[in-house]
Amino acid sequence: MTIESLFETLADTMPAERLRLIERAYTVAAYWHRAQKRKSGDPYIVHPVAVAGILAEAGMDHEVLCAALLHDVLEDTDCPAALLIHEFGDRITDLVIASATVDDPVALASCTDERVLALKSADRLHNLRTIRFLPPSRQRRKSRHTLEVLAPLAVRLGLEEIGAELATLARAVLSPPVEAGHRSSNRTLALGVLLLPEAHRSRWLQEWFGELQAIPRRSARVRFTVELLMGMPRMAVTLRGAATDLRDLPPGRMPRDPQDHRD
Amino acid sequence: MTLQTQNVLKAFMDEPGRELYGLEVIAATRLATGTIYPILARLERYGWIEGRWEDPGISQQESRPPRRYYKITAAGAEGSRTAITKAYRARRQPVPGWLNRPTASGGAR
Repeated sequence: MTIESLFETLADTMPAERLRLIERAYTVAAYWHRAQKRKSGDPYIVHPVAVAGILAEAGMDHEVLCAALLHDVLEDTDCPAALLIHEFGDRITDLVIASATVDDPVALASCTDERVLALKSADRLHNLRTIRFLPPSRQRRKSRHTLEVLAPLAVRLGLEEIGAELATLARAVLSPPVEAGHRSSNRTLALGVLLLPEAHRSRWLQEWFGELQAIPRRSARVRFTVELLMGMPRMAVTLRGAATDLRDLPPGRMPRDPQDHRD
Repeated sequence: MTLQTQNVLKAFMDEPGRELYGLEVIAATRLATGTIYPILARLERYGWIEGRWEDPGISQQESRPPRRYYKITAAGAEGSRTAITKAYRARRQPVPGWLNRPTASGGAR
Protein backbone atom coordinates (compact mmCIF):
# COMPACT_ATOMS: atom_id res chain seq x y z
CA MET A 1 0.00 0.00 0.00
CA THR A 2 1.36 3.41 -0.86
CA ILE A 3 1.03 6.43 1.41
CA GLU A 4 -1.56 7.90 -0.95
CA SER A 5 -3.75 4.81 -0.86
CA LEU A 6 -3.38 4.71 2.93
CA PHE A 7 -4.81 8.22 3.19
CA GLU A 8 -7.54 7.36 0.72
CA THR A 9 -8.51 4.42 2.90
CA LEU A 10 -8.59 6.58 6.01
CA ALA A 11 -10.26 9.66 4.53
CA ASP A 12 -13.78 8.35 5.11
CA THR A 13 -13.41 7.30 8.70
CA MET A 14 -10.67 9.37 10.27
CA PRO A 15 -11.41 12.88 11.61
CA ALA A 16 -9.35 15.61 9.90
CA GLU A 17 -7.07 16.51 12.79
CA ARG A 18 -6.14 12.86 13.33
CA LEU A 19 -5.42 12.47 9.65
CA ARG A 20 -3.18 15.50 9.90
CA LEU A 21 -1.28 13.88 12.76
CA ILE A 22 -0.78 10.74 10.69
CA GLU A 23 0.45 12.86 7.80
CA ARG A 24 2.86 14.54 10.18
CA ALA A 25 4.10 11.15 11.36
CA TYR A 26 4.72 10.16 7.74
CA THR A 27 6.64 13.38 7.06
CA VAL A 28 8.81 12.95 10.16
CA ALA A 29 9.50 9.28 9.42
CA ALA A 30 10.28 9.96 5.76
CA TYR A 31 12.71 12.66 6.83
CA TRP A 32 14.63 10.56 9.33
CA HIS A 33 14.74 7.49 7.07
CA ARG A 34 15.61 9.48 3.97
CA ALA A 35 19.10 8.04 3.54
CA GLN A 36 18.19 4.43 4.26
CA LYS A 37 17.22 1.59 2.02
CA ARG A 38 15.59 -1.80 2.53
CA LYS A 39 17.45 -4.93 1.51
CA SER A 40 15.21 -5.01 -1.55
CA GLY A 41 16.70 -1.69 -2.66
CA ASP A 42 13.51 0.25 -2.00
CA PRO A 43 13.64 3.46 0.06
CA TYR A 44 13.25 2.46 3.72
CA ILE A 45 10.05 4.45 4.23
CA VAL A 46 8.23 1.85 2.13
CA HIS A 47 8.31 -0.47 5.15
CA PRO A 48 6.69 1.77 7.85
CA VAL A 49 4.06 2.77 5.28
CA ALA A 50 3.30 -0.87 4.55
CA VAL A 51 3.06 -1.67 8.26
CA ALA A 52 0.68 1.26 8.77
CA GLY A 53 -1.35 -0.01 5.80
CA ILE A 54 -1.72 -3.46 7.32
CA LEU A 55 -2.87 -1.95 10.62
CA ALA A 56 -5.25 0.49 8.90
CA GLU A 57 -6.90 -2.45 7.16
CA ALA A 58 -7.24 -4.11 10.55
CA GLY A 59 -9.06 -1.04 11.85
CA MET A 60 -6.44 0.22 14.31
CA ASP A 61 -6.69 3.71 15.81
CA HIS A 62 -4.74 6.78 14.71
CA GLU A 63 -2.18 6.50 17.53
CA VAL A 64 -1.24 3.00 16.41
CA LEU A 65 -0.98 4.21 12.82
CA CYS A 66 1.31 7.08 13.83
CA ALA A 67 3.43 4.68 15.87
CA ALA A 68 3.54 2.31 12.88
CA LEU A 69 4.94 5.04 10.65
CA LEU A 70 7.47 6.03 13.31
CA HIS A 71 8.26 2.55 14.64
CA ASP A 72 11.88 2.44 13.44
CA VAL A 73 12.93 6.08 13.76
CA LEU A 74 14.23 5.80 17.29
CA GLU A 75 16.03 2.54 16.76
CA ASP A 76 17.48 3.07 13.31
CA THR A 77 17.98 6.83 13.03
CA ASP A 78 19.30 9.72 15.12
CA CYS A 79 15.83 11.04 15.81
CA PRO A 80 15.67 11.97 19.51
CA ALA A 81 12.80 10.66 21.62
CA ALA A 82 12.25 14.21 22.87
CA LEU A 83 11.22 15.26 19.36
CA LEU A 84 8.61 12.52 19.16
CA ILE A 85 7.22 13.45 22.56
CA HIS A 86 7.04 17.07 21.53
CA GLU A 87 5.23 16.41 18.24
CA PHE A 88 3.15 13.35 19.05
CA GLY A 89 2.86 13.13 22.83
CA ASP A 90 3.65 10.43 25.36
CA ARG A 91 1.20 7.75 24.26
CA ILE A 92 2.41 7.51 20.69
CA THR A 93 6.06 7.77 21.74
CA ASP A 94 5.57 4.99 24.29
CA LEU A 95 4.13 2.79 21.56
CA VAL A 96 7.16 3.47 19.38
CA ILE A 97 9.59 2.70 22.21
CA ALA A 98 7.70 -0.44 23.21
CA SER A 99 7.64 -1.83 19.68
CA ALA A 100 11.41 -1.43 19.55
CA THR A 101 12.15 -2.98 22.94
CA VAL A 102 9.60 -5.76 23.30
CA ASP A 103 11.45 -8.34 21.29
CA ASP A 104 12.28 -11.65 22.93
CA PRO A 105 9.64 -14.31 23.56
CA VAL A 106 9.53 -13.62 27.28
CA ALA A 107 8.86 -9.91 26.82
CA LEU A 108 6.25 -10.66 24.16
CA ALA A 109 4.51 -13.20 26.35
CA SER A 110 4.32 -10.81 29.28
CA CYS A 111 3.36 -7.76 27.23
CA THR A 112 -0.25 -6.89 27.85
CA ASP A 113 -0.57 -3.91 25.55
CA GLU A 114 -2.52 -5.26 22.60
CA ARG A 115 -1.59 -2.30 20.46
CA VAL A 116 2.14 -3.06 20.83
CA LEU A 117 1.51 -6.67 19.90
CA ALA A 118 -0.52 -5.62 16.87
CA LEU A 119 2.35 -3.36 15.80
CA LYS A 120 4.86 -6.18 16.07
CA SER A 121 2.60 -8.57 14.16
CA ALA A 122 2.15 -6.13 11.30
CA ASP A 123 5.88 -5.38 11.29
CA ARG A 124 6.69 -9.06 11.05
CA LEU A 125 4.04 -9.58 8.38
CA HIS A 126 5.54 -7.05 6.03
CA ASN A 127 9.02 -8.37 6.72
CA LEU A 128 7.87 -11.89 5.89
CA ARG A 129 6.21 -10.70 2.70
CA THR A 130 9.58 -9.34 1.61
CA ILE A 131 11.81 -11.89 3.32
CA ARG A 132 13.33 -13.25 0.13
CA PHE A 133 15.97 -10.48 0.24
CA LEU A 134 17.47 -11.84 3.46
CA PRO A 135 20.04 -14.65 3.67
CA PRO A 136 18.33 -18.06 4.06
CA SER A 137 19.55 -18.65 7.63
CA ARG A 138 17.94 -15.41 8.83
CA GLN A 139 14.80 -16.20 6.87
CA ARG A 140 14.48 -19.50 8.70
CA ARG A 141 15.16 -18.01 12.11
CA LYS A 142 12.50 -15.32 11.68
CA SER A 143 10.03 -17.83 10.30
CA ARG A 144 10.49 -20.20 13.22
CA HIS A 145 9.97 -17.35 15.68
CA THR A 146 6.89 -16.32 13.77
CA LEU A 147 5.31 -19.78 13.87
CA GLU A 148 6.14 -20.30 17.52
CA VAL A 149 5.30 -16.90 18.95
CA LEU A 150 3.88 -14.19 16.72
CA ALA A 151 1.32 -16.00 14.61
CA PRO A 152 -0.52 -17.57 17.58
CA LEU A 153 -0.31 -14.24 19.37
CA ALA A 154 -1.90 -12.40 16.48
CA VAL A 155 -4.73 -14.91 16.33
CA ARG A 156 -5.32 -14.59 20.08
CA LEU A 157 -5.52 -10.83 19.65
CA GLY A 158 -8.31 -11.29 17.18
CA LEU A 159 -6.12 -10.39 14.18
CA GLU A 160 -7.00 -13.61 12.45
CA GLU A 161 -6.14 -12.68 8.90
CA ILE A 162 -2.76 -11.31 9.94
CA GLY A 163 -2.09 -14.42 12.03
CA ALA A 164 -3.06 -16.72 9.18
CA GLU A 165 -0.89 -14.96 6.66
CA LEU A 166 2.04 -14.92 9.10
CA ALA A 167 1.74 -18.67 9.53
CA THR A 168 1.43 -19.36 5.80
CA LEU A 169 4.42 -17.24 4.87
CA ALA A 170 6.55 -18.69 7.67
CA ARG A 171 5.67 -22.25 6.68
CA ALA A 172 6.49 -21.55 3.06
CA VAL A 173 10.00 -20.53 4.09
CA LEU A 174 10.49 -23.53 6.36
CA SER A 175 9.01 -26.14 4.04
CA PRO A 176 11.41 -28.73 2.58
CA PRO A 177 14.13 -26.84 0.74
CA VAL A 178 13.98 -26.68 -3.04
CA GLU A 179 15.87 -29.59 -4.51
CA ALA A 180 18.67 -27.34 -5.58
CA GLY A 181 21.10 -30.19 -5.15
CA HIS A 182 20.59 -33.07 -7.47
CA ARG A 183 19.48 -31.48 -10.72
CA SER A 184 22.28 -30.02 -12.74
CA SER A 185 19.95 -27.50 -14.38
CA ASN A 186 19.23 -26.01 -10.99
CA ARG A 187 22.90 -25.87 -10.06
CA THR A 188 23.86 -24.24 -13.33
CA LEU A 189 21.15 -21.66 -12.94
CA ALA A 190 22.23 -20.91 -9.40
CA LEU A 191 25.66 -20.04 -10.77
CA GLY A 192 24.35 -18.05 -13.73
CA VAL A 193 22.23 -15.93 -11.46
CA LEU A 194 25.40 -14.51 -9.92
CA LEU A 195 25.49 -12.16 -12.92
CA LEU A 196 22.41 -10.40 -11.64
CA PRO A 197 22.43 -7.58 -9.09
CA GLU A 198 22.48 -9.17 -5.66
CA ALA A 199 19.15 -7.86 -4.47
CA HIS A 200 17.33 -9.56 -7.34
CA ARG A 201 19.03 -12.96 -7.39
CA SER A 202 16.96 -14.88 -4.94
CA ARG A 203 13.64 -13.68 -6.30
CA TRP A 204 14.38 -14.66 -9.90
CA LEU A 205 16.08 -17.90 -8.92
CA GLN A 206 12.95 -18.85 -7.01
CA GLU A 207 10.79 -18.11 -10.01
CA TRP A 208 13.02 -20.06 -12.40
CA PHE A 209 13.24 -23.05 -10.09
CA GLY A 210 9.47 -22.98 -9.94
CA GLU A 211 9.19 -23.05 -13.73
CA LEU A 212 11.93 -25.69 -14.10
CA GLN A 213 10.03 -28.02 -11.79
CA ALA A 214 7.07 -27.78 -14.12
CA ILE A 215 9.02 -29.01 -17.16
CA PRO A 216 8.76 -32.78 -17.40
CA ARG A 217 11.39 -33.56 -20.03
CA ARG A 218 15.08 -33.20 -19.30
CA SER A 219 15.88 -31.91 -22.80
CA ALA A 220 13.34 -29.13 -22.40
CA ARG A 221 14.77 -28.26 -18.98
CA VAL A 222 18.23 -28.06 -20.47
CA ARG A 223 16.99 -25.74 -23.22
CA PHE A 224 15.20 -23.55 -20.69
CA THR A 225 18.39 -23.25 -18.64
CA VAL A 226 20.70 -22.66 -21.58
CA GLU A 227 18.47 -19.96 -23.06
CA LEU A 228 18.19 -18.31 -19.68
CA LEU A 229 21.95 -18.30 -19.24
CA MET A 230 22.44 -16.78 -22.67
CA GLY A 231 19.97 -14.08 -21.77
CA MET A 232 21.44 -13.46 -18.31
CA PRO A 233 23.64 -10.49 -19.28
CA ARG A 234 20.62 -8.82 -20.82
CA MET A 235 18.57 -9.59 -17.74
CA ALA A 236 21.28 -8.01 -15.61
CA VAL A 237 21.18 -4.82 -17.69
CA THR A 238 17.40 -4.70 -17.48
CA LEU A 239 17.40 -5.12 -13.71
CA ARG A 240 20.02 -2.45 -13.24
CA GLY A 241 17.76 -0.13 -15.17
CA ALA A 242 20.78 1.33 -16.87
CA ALA A 243 21.41 1.72 -20.59
CA THR A 244 17.78 1.01 -21.43
CA ASP A 245 17.21 0.44 -25.07
CA LEU A 246 14.90 3.25 -26.11
CA ARG A 247 13.26 1.08 -28.74
CA ASP A 248 12.03 -1.17 -25.97
CA LEU A 249 10.57 1.55 -23.80
CA PRO A 250 6.80 1.88 -23.90
CA PRO A 251 6.14 5.26 -25.55
CA GLY A 252 4.93 6.63 -22.23
CA ARG A 253 8.52 6.80 -21.12
CA MET A 254 9.94 8.62 -24.08
CA PRO A 255 10.16 12.37 -24.54
CA ARG A 256 6.79 13.15 -25.96
CA ASP A 257 5.31 15.74 -28.25
CA PRO A 258 3.17 18.47 -26.65
CA GLN A 259 0.04 17.10 -28.37
CA ASP A 260 0.16 13.93 -26.36
CA HIS A 261 -2.18 14.46 -23.42
CA ARG A 262 -1.47 11.31 -21.51
CA ASP A 263 0.12 11.70 -18.08
CA MET B 1 8.39 -0.91 -28.67
CA THR B 2 9.90 -4.08 -30.07
CA LEU B 3 7.85 -6.72 -31.82
CA GLN B 4 8.90 -9.12 -29.09
CA THR B 5 7.43 -6.92 -26.37
CA GLN B 6 4.26 -6.59 -28.46
CA ASN B 7 4.01 -10.36 -28.69
CA VAL B 8 4.32 -10.69 -24.94
CA LEU B 9 1.59 -8.09 -24.43
CA LYS B 10 -0.59 -9.90 -26.96
CA ALA B 11 -0.24 -13.08 -24.93
CA PHE B 12 -1.66 -11.26 -21.90
CA MET B 13 -4.41 -9.41 -23.74
CA ASP B 14 -5.67 -12.32 -25.81
CA GLU B 15 -8.01 -13.50 -23.09
CA PRO B 16 -9.66 -11.31 -20.50
CA GLY B 17 -8.08 -11.50 -17.03
CA ARG B 18 -5.60 -14.11 -18.19
CA GLU B 19 -2.87 -15.06 -15.70
CA LEU B 20 0.23 -16.63 -17.13
CA TYR B 21 3.28 -18.38 -15.83
CA GLY B 22 6.60 -17.62 -17.53
CA LEU B 23 6.44 -20.97 -19.34
CA GLU B 24 3.04 -20.08 -20.75
CA VAL B 25 4.34 -16.77 -22.07
CA ILE B 26 7.17 -18.67 -23.74
CA ALA B 27 4.71 -21.13 -25.29
CA ALA B 28 2.38 -18.38 -26.49
CA THR B 29 5.06 -16.18 -27.99
CA ARG B 30 7.57 -18.86 -29.03
CA LEU B 31 10.30 -16.55 -27.84
CA ALA B 32 13.38 -17.76 -25.98
CA THR B 33 13.47 -17.88 -22.21
CA GLY B 34 16.28 -15.33 -22.06
CA THR B 35 14.18 -12.97 -24.18
CA ILE B 36 10.91 -13.00 -22.29
CA TYR B 37 12.19 -12.59 -18.76
CA PRO B 38 13.82 -9.19 -19.30
CA ILE B 39 10.55 -8.13 -20.96
CA LEU B 40 8.50 -9.39 -18.03
CA ALA B 41 10.85 -7.66 -15.57
CA ARG B 42 10.48 -4.38 -17.43
CA LEU B 43 6.72 -4.61 -17.83
CA GLU B 44 6.38 -5.39 -14.15
CA ARG B 45 8.57 -2.45 -13.22
CA TYR B 46 6.39 -0.11 -15.28
CA GLY B 47 3.26 -1.51 -13.66
CA TRP B 48 1.91 -2.82 -16.96
CA ILE B 49 1.76 -6.35 -15.62
CA GLU B 50 1.48 -7.46 -12.04
CA GLY B 51 2.90 -10.67 -10.69
CA ARG B 52 1.91 -12.84 -7.78
CA TRP B 53 3.31 -15.98 -6.30
CA GLU B 54 1.22 -19.09 -6.31
CA ASP B 55 -0.49 -19.82 -2.97
CA PRO B 56 2.29 -21.30 -0.78
CA GLY B 57 -0.23 -23.77 0.66
CA ILE B 58 -0.65 -25.43 -2.73
CA SER B 59 3.01 -25.59 -3.65
CA GLN B 60 3.88 -26.85 -0.21
CA GLN B 61 1.34 -29.62 -0.45
CA GLU B 62 2.84 -30.70 -3.72
CA SER B 63 6.39 -30.31 -2.39
CA ARG B 64 7.58 -28.00 -5.07
CA PRO B 65 8.62 -24.36 -5.22
CA PRO B 66 5.80 -21.83 -5.82
CA ARG B 67 5.45 -20.51 -9.35
CA ARG B 68 4.82 -16.93 -10.35
CA TYR B 69 1.81 -15.76 -12.35
CA TYR B 70 1.52 -12.48 -14.22
CA LYS B 71 -1.44 -10.61 -15.59
CA ILE B 72 -1.95 -7.34 -17.38
CA THR B 73 -3.03 -4.31 -15.33
CA ALA B 74 -5.48 -1.58 -16.34
CA ALA B 75 -2.55 0.73 -16.99
CA GLY B 76 -0.88 -1.95 -19.05
CA ALA B 77 -3.95 -2.65 -21.17
CA GLU B 78 -4.42 1.03 -21.88
CA GLY B 79 -0.74 1.67 -22.46
CA SER B 80 -0.41 -1.31 -24.79
CA ARG B 81 -3.39 -0.26 -26.85
CA THR B 82 -2.06 3.24 -27.27
CA ALA B 83 1.48 2.22 -28.06
CA ILE B 84 0.65 -0.62 -30.40
CA THR B 85 -2.11 1.31 -32.21
CA LYS B 86 0.42 4.07 -32.80
CA ALA B 87 2.93 1.58 -34.16
CA TYR B 88 0.47 -0.02 -36.55
CA ARG B 89 -0.89 3.32 -37.74
CA ALA B 90 2.63 4.58 -38.37
CA ARG B 91 3.17 1.63 -40.65
CA ARG B 92 -0.26 2.20 -42.27
CA GLN B 93 -1.44 -1.24 -41.24
CA PRO B 94 -4.83 -2.15 -39.81
CA VAL B 95 -4.80 -2.49 -36.06
CA PRO B 96 -4.96 -6.19 -35.05
CA GLY B 97 -8.19 -7.51 -33.58
CA TRP B 98 -6.70 -8.84 -30.34
CA LEU B 99 -5.76 -5.33 -29.28
CA ASN B 100 -9.29 -4.24 -28.57
CA ARG B 101 -10.60 -7.28 -26.81
CA PRO B 102 -11.98 -6.27 -23.43
CA THR B 103 -9.75 -7.20 -20.52
CA ALA B 104 -11.05 -7.81 -17.00
CA SER B 105 -8.58 -5.31 -15.75
CA GLY B 106 -10.58 -2.92 -13.60
CA GLY B 107 -9.53 -2.32 -10.02
CA ALA B 108 -5.97 -3.53 -10.13
CA ARG B 109 -4.84 -4.67 -6.71
